[in-house]
Amino acid sequence: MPVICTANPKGGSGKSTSTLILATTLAAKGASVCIIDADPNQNIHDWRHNGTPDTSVQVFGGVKEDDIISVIEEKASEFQFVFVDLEGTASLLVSRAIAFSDFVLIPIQASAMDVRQAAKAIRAIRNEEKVRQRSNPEATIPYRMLLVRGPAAGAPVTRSQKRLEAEIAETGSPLFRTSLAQREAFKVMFESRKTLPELVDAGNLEGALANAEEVAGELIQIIADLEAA
Amino acid sequence: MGFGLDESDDKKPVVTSEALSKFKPRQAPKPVANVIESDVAAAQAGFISREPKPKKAVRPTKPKQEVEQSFQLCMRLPSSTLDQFVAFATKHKLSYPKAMQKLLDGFRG
Repeated sequence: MPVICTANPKGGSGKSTSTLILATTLAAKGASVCIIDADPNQNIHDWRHNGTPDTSVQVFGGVKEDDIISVIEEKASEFQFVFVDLEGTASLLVSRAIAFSDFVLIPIQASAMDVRQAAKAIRAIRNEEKVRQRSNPEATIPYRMLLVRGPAAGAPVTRSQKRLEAEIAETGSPLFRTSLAQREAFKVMFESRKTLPELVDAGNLEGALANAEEVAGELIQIIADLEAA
Repeated sequence: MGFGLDESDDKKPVVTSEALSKFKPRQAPKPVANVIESDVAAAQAGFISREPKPKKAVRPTKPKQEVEQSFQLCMRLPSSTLDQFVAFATKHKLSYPKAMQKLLDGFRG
């Protein structure tokens, strides 16, 4: 516990980046963490198995619609945190992972396309929730949207982002208070197949580490609050 | 910063060992929804199977029987012979070519 899946039917919305940053940050703090790489691109699986990152995070790839549920169940009994990185499509594999997760993280960039596709993920979550509630009226599938590739702390916020913030606020969809900024280090992590602390010459590394910890801290707080509730 | 981050809020979230220690691996499988119902609900939101389906086994087809070459036969017959032949074919529910074959087989046998 918990199983956290990252979902947004739009490709390139930052699912793999968010997953990797959060998982490695929690592992660096001593948590036992695994990532189920259910994205056919297998970017995280490649990062772990074709590189030598200094991390305890274990990565399992190659899952399909038929085995995603059993893999989630198996890993949830072994690790404190199970992240599921999903493909950028509206597929059965994605919906099954959502149905069997404790928390859904929906990364979005400040673009109307990302937000529209995020709405699709939210519809799927609500439908799955209704199914769960047939056996347990109290059951929910909590979720939050997370802004990724946004401006760094202190940088000016674009007008389009402000408009989207207002639109999202109107819908009442829950958002992370923190966001993952557009940072060179987050890209270099994948290129060099290393963890953030191992990187050199990757822009403002201190800023990236602080940002990663902020978002991971909020994630932990959200899940702890959900469990307490 | 946007998306609800209040710049005046200086209490930034951090990950502490104490907070992490509260999370344990699952002791028992999560009570979950019926997968079929779940898939139906997902389909209503546009989430459908995207994986290639295994190809159906192809039933082997029967090899085509070789058909003997055929020719047109055109001849004049006495009316009584023609009536007799047609009556024979009708009685045995045979086409004319098969009726002729049957008669030939009988003659040979």
